Amino acid sequence: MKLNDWIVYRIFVLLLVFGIVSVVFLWTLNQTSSQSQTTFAIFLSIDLVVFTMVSYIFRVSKWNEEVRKLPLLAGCTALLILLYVALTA
Amino acid sequence: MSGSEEDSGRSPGLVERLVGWFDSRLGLSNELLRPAPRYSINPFYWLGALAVVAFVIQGISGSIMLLYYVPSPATAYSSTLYIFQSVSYGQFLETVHLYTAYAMIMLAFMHMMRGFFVSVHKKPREIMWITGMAMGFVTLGFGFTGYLLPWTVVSYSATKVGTAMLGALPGPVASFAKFLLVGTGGDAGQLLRFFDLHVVVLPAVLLVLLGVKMYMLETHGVSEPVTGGTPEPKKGGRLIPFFPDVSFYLLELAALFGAAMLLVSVLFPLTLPAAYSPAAAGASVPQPDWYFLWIYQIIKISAFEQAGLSWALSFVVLIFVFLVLLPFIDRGETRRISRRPWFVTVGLVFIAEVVVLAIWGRQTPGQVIPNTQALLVLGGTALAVSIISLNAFRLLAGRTSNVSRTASPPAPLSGASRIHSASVWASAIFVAVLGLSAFSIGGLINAVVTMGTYGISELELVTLAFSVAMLAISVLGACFLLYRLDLGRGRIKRHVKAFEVGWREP
Repeated sequence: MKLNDWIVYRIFVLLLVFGIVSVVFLWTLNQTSSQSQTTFAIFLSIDLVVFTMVSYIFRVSKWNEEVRKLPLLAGCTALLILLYVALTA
Repeated sequence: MSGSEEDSGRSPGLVERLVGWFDSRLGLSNELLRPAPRYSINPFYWLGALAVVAFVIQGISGSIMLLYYVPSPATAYSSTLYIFQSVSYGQFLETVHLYTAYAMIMLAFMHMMRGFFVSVHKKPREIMWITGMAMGFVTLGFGFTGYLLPWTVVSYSATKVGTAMLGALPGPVASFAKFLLVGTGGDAGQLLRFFDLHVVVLPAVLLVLLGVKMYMLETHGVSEPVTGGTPEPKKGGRLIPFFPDVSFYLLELAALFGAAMLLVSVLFPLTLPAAYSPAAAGASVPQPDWYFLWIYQIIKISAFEQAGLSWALSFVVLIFVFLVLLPFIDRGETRRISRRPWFVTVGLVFIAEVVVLAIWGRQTPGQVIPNTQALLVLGGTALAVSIISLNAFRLLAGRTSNVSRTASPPAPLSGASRIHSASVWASAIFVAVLGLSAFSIGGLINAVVTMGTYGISELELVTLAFSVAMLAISVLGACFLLYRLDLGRGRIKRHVKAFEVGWREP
């Protein structure tokens, strides 16, 4: 599975969009509320995980190596869990 | 400006000229850091780098806290409380600062132990190892000095115990340490000294040491795999440029580490203990933070209590001296783990003892440990780990020799699969024995300590009996492992058919 493969390309673009939306959301938080500490930390974590996945796909593709399914699946699962926790916190 | 641009006749734009101006002055396009081999793209190679990432996060969070913190006995606690309660995300900031400090110490320890096991201290990296050890001590210094700053009853009492221990050091060393850490200005002077050390001196020293270590890393490069020599390019030896490839990999690790720290800080937010007051201090038992607990527990052993603090400190110093001088002690040529059974076993025993002592110290605050108890627990741990480790080495050695024996003439497939099966069984038993002995030793300690403190109860007696039974099972497991490794051709095997599962035929 390489970067130009359709599925990885879709994940790459989705991650970028997700990361940008998450960063924009971070700026809308009310910083004086203690409740927003949790939301802030979780969304910042989401951004960091998104960055890791995007960088991983970019780096591995640059090295002409295969993008492995396990890191992508683990990353996507982590993102879904974090998003669920952030929205229900 | 490149030649191609001149040839094409295109005049450089403003941005290109600006970049060119800086490049000609700062040498930005020069290769700053040497390329790294492909095999080093592995988190275990970058544990030290992650400790630096933790240091950077601490620097950022600490700098923000500096805006509010006031280092005097009258205001230290109230200003910390103000950060907690009134500053936006203050509690989160303090929690992240504390947990990254813990992570930094843990990563530095893991980095050191990995280096110990894979022999990075050997020629030509001896000074690099000593520099790393110095950085480790500075990291512990961060923990020691930072612990006092919130001026809570726990931090004040523990620091007082720590500084009182300085008196047990040899004369000139004690005087210098007291001058550095305590001074003559009472509590206010001591807090100010700790603050200065924590915020100015130690970061500066750490940065200098980091620079020295980075210079040596550039000189010697990343250490080769323990199998010896640099592998061929096709087998992971090809070089990868530091920018952007390796730096992107490091950023990935740093991002994951940061995300983990953020989530841990959210899940387990810090709560500030009570403020220091003489009355509160009198009611609490001083206990250091977890990374000093193992030293605290050594000091509490009855033999050291009677012989004096200086003996206990000498023992601890001896361990540190051994670690610092390791490159000149472990001078063998080979770096393979499988060929260094004694040093690897010493390393495993050290880790096990530190963990046992720390857990034990947490459970027995302020209690003197009887010599027999210390001997049983520490000696038992060392014995169990040594037996398991050395037998694991025998298993590895046996497997290697078996494989080489079966390689010529070629062995039938069933024989090879039996050897594999035997290894899998032995490894599974090894893990089970290790886990069971850890649980049983922990249960034993807990039961003995609880009965010693609160008296004998039925529940504790059941726990004790259960722990003893588990320990017996783990000893039996160890014997089984010994049998599988050593007594394969002995009488026991012929009579106990159940033991023959997965074992190769002689």
